[in-house]
Amino acid sequence: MRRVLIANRAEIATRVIRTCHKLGIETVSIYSEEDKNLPFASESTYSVCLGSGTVTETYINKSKIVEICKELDVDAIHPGYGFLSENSEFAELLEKNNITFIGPSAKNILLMGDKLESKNFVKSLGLPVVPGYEGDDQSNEKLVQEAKKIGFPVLIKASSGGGGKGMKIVREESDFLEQLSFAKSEALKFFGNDRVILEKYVLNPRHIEVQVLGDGQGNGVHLFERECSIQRRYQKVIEETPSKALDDKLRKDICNTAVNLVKGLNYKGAGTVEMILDSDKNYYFLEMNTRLQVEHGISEMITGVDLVEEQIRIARGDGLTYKQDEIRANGHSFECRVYAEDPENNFMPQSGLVENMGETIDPTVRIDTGYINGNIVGINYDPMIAKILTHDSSRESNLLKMKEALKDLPFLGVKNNRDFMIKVLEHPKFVSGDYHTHSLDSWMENLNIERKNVDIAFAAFSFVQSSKKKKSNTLEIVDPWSEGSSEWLG
Amino acid sequence: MNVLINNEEFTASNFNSNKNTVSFNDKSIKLLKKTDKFIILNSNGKNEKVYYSYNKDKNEYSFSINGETYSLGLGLKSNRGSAQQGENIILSPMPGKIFKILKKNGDQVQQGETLLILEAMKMEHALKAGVSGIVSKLDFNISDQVEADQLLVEIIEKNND
Repeated sequence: MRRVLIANRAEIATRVIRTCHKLGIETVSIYSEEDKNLPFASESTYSVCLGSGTVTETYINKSKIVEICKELDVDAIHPGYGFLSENSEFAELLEKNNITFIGPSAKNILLMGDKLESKNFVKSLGLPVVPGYEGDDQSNEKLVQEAKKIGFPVLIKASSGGGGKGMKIVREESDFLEQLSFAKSEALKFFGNDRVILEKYVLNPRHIEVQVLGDGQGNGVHLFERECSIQRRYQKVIEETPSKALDDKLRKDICNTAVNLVKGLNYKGAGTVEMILDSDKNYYFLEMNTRLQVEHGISEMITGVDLVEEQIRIARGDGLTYKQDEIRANGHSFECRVYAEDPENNFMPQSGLVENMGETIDPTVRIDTGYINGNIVGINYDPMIAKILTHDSSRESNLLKMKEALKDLPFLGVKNNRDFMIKVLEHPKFVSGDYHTHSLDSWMENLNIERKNVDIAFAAFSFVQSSKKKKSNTLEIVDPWSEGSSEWLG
Repeated sequence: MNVLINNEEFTASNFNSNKNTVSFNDKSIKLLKKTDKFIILNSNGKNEKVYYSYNKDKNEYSFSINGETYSLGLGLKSNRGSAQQGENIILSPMPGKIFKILKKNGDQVQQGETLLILEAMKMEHALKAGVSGIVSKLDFNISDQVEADQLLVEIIEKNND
């Protein structure tokens, strides 16, 4: 493998380029016209502009990408996450064109991408899935009987649904039939089909996922868990490893469950097995992501393993570098995701200029970002600007380290959630590690942004502004303390 | 003219400055160090590292002080989010693209009905009628780019008299 094309953009493209070059592999970046000034577009050995247009015309334009691979004699494609990373047709297309896809087989992508099929497969391996009913008998009698078997609270979901439409939580048996009729009529309205499935409603669930690697020959290892329960609108905000919710025994069980799935699939490459953990410490398979995850970095920090390097080694047939007992977890790692959004205006996505990211004085802080000062965060792509990662010996010390890191990395310019994340880190329940996937929403009223340093802000303005005035006379702002303009300070 | 700090008026009384010290509102703050990314101030004996930036287009300064972000501009207080906006006026809440148009000028709409859908950063945002009335000034096509606070729709309220 001499030359790899990265079919992605921004921070993950930069991340993959870094490891490729470390391994002596040349890189090709592809970028849209809008992204031409982002670092990834020119950090690679070769760059190809995809022109302007929608994502379909650019980053996920399969035939165009294959064409570029042929022109530039590319051996392999790294898809990053999102875009074409879980697209089985793309994996097949590459195979036909003799280009290595740095990822699992098309068959595994397809199987794990299907909610029902993946659940059935996991069940067939004897691994735990959320108890439920997906049968053809949709009569009220049968559904009541199955709901009782599952145990209340029960979730009724439209079988062809998504996004919460036609979804009802039923807490007691006496409410079941009424809620069932609501769910069915909503399902019919939104999806043209009133078929429902039943699922155990997991109270206060924690999102625990396991990082795995497989060699495609039935061997697999795990790189421990990641706790990703700090979410807002199903979007992860802060992740950590190890999870406070697991003891050694449970950790071993969950991680082994994930490895058994990897082995059962003959899985090739890096993947993530997502589980939910209930308050009684029962865990269930949720889904498998057949790609590198956004939050993979915290696993790298505690294990010292470069996951992109492992993906490349596996794809070129080197097999697994590490045996399970050679992978050890050391210390604690946090990741905070900086999003271009306005926490004071319902987290509305924002666009704008990255004016001053700041700089950390701690060399152990890892900043994965696709931007540099002067770049524009546009409206057409993901609002994530950066991931800040820290590692330290304990969760306690690491929490302080992360707070300091965030204070030094304000990403001034485009509005973002940096201040908000500091408030989350300070929340007593976050400090104690006692949280689940609904916690962030319930903490919201205690996470208001505070501004206690207005005087210092004004003083800073006066110093910054006065020196600007000396350098340039073209400033439009009136110098507030120059003669004749002091009246408005009244 | 007023200094606006995060859209709140800020008044500095008895303002005085010399080379490295400013005083106002019975406070005295000293400048210790300055680079192109940050300055270090001393207030009440305590050092404070302040990251700063200036946006020429918005004529706005930004500061980060101990994990808190401030934006400071001159000029009139922005009306955004205030009652003056009027419930019959629909402004774009963010820069984005028109994704769907569900009503056209002249249509009679009820309060709460979705008028159009805006798309930005992979999110769809439904814009709803704040009052009942007749749709006007909806002069866009699908995929049109709009700025934050741009007027999208005006609803002419029915006269109940």
